[in-house]
Amino acid sequence: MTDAIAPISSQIRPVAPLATGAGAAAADGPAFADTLKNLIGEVSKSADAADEASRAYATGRSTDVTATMVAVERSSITFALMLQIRNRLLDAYQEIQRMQV
Amino acid sequence: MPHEALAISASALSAQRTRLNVIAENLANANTTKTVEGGPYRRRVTRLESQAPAFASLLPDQQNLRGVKVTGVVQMPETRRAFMPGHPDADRDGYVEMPNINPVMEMADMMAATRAYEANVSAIQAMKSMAQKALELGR
Amino acid sequence: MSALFGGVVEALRQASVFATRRHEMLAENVANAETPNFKANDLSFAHELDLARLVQSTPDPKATLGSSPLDLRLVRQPDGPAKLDGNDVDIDKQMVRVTQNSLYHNVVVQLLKAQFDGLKSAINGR
Repeated sequence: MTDAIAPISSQIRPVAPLATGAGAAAADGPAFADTLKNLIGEVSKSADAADEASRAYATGRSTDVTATMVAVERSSITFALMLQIRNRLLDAYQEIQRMQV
Repeated sequence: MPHEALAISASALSAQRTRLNVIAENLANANTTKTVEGGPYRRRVTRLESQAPAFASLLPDQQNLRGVKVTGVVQMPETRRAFMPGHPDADRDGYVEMPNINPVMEMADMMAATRAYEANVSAIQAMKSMAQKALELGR
Repeated sequence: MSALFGGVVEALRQASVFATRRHEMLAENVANAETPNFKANDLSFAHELDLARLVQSTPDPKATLGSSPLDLRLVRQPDGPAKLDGNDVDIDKQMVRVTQNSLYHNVVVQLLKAQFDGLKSAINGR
């Protein structure tokens, strides 16, 4: 799953500077970009944790079904959250693009 | 591949059922002193052997695992002599030739056969659950 | 394409193959629980190399989907000393293994599903 994140995260980065540039949200600008960066880091970390938990269960190193499923669900939810944010940002970006200057 | 497991478990269901039938016959005839062949009923015993299930050779990529088969129902020749002077089949000394069947032993065998039957049913259910779970991957 | 389905997916796939094969082995034990002279068997990963292969995180570029057969070793796994008729199967112990194994298989398939769902979600962008 870590490989699949790369194309998505590369789309997020061009949008982040836009967030810092938005006038009305200038006070929140830098914080927002950092939040995004942190989120991407979280997604990557939780995906790695899910992969590790899956591997451990498959090879018999771990027999804790609950912990494995929790790790996998966490990664899935974090990824879905990032995906949603990315889609909203993309929509907002496109709407701004459509604005007549 | 699960089909091989199904064939194996099914062969055991069939074998244990046959065994149960034979045990039931023994119990029913525990006191039969006269049979068509003449003489008392003789205890029957099933012979179980592990054998590849009937259509296993048609399945691809098999592990050559063996199910079980009833290879024969054997009649045990022994009888026992019981002292029953009033019995219509009693000989001059009052002894009757009775089948050599111990109901307690037959009941124990019946319980073992029933347990084996149920265990194989559980094995089939486990296999079904695994196959259904795998099908979910396509959804 | 193998980069898409490397590492974890391959490990889980091999685990599911192992679970299926093991169930067949256990089914044989249960079917022959009353057969004279039958000895119980079980299945295990051959040795550390297979485990290491499963755990490696970089996908093997030469591996194609559905290849790399597992080196599964048949091991004798008597449940106890042989009974009078030579049979050494304990039907209850075997049923416990069947239950454990089917749970293991179902969890592995669930994990595979999560992997595939994640990939599909990334591909669809929603």
